[in-house]
Amino acid sequence: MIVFERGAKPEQVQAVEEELRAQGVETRRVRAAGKPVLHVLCGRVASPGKVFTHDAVEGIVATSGPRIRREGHRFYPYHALQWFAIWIVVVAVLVLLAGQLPPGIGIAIDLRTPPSEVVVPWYGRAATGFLALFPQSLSWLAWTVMVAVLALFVALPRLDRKADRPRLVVVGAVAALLFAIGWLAVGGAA
Amino acid sequence: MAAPANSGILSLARGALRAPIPHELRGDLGMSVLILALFLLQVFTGILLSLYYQPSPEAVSESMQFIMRDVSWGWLLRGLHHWVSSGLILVCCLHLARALWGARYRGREWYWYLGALVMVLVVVLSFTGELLVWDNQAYWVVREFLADIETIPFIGRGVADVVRGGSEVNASTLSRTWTAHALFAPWLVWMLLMSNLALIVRDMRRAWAGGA
Repeated sequence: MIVFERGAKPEQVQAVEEELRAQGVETRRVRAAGKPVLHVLCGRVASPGKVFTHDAVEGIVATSGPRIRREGHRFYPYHALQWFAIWIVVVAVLVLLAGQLPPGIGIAIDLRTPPSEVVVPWYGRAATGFLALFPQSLSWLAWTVMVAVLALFVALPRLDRKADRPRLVVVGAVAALLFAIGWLAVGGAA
Repeated sequence: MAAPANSGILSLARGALRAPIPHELRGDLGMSVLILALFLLQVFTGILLSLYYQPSPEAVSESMQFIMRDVSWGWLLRGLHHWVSSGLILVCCLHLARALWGARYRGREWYWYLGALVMVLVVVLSFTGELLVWDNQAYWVVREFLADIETIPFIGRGVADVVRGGSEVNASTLSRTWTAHALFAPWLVWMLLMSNLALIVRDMRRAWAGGA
């Protein structure tokens, strides 16, 4: 947008318009806040400095390109609509799961007879699988290792502060750890 | 663009809605909002379920069956509550994995600490929720879990006794599990999520002001 000063004459606007057209820039005239404005429809203003040689030009306001890339899109409507669509999909999947795979109610508690298989929730299987690898006498070692791994994971920002360290090293190390946990989860569950 | 003026909650909200979201914060904000939305859905369904759920060993089974069979949309409420808890853990995992992949924790330690804490608390919430069904499976899961906890050196037995409310898994254990599930953990998660959002808003304001 090329904004002119309030009270700029039509011939001043036309002079800029013709200069831009000579550069292959298509524009249209509009008014905003009582000021004449040239809206750039297509093409690129190759030399904005030349435009400013016209006394009536007040400023050039970029409405796309670098400014948007730097500042980002507004929450409303851009992100709001996108997130709302994602939310609808998430809720639809959850409702589908709730309807098709509802959680059951098991049999009443029997203090003497455990179920044939005690099913630990999926997110706890890695930990119980890991504990099961150690005999009772070495359970302290299992807990020490688990607490150490958790502490290392939480303290990662303190351990990996070098901006130039290849992130693949860190990602690889954590991926290996996750693979081990997954393997333990499957093994522990089995 | 200038930051919105501090003149009332409405103008702040209006300013936040109209303000551009910097690209580097778009993903963080999106994931945080998704986690917050899932958590609020959990709170909503949890409050409705708590209207009918009775946390005493004698009445649990009956109240659960009442929710599933007699309460209008009770099956949906319980189903949603059940699946959202797993979804919440998955989304938290994704959030941390995304931070890990992009090494986004570098120089933004508090985002990582808050995310890890939320993750742990969400697992606690989900696990305590599984136990509230108080059927044979849940009973033996909690017994095995506490037996594992007892093997922690030095503090294991004490922690297990606090969770159990004595030396045996009984009504006291159920009561404590219910308190942790419905009172302590949700408030902690709420405070952590709000802190996370406050961090994002702070960084957005810095970006608007042209800072780091």
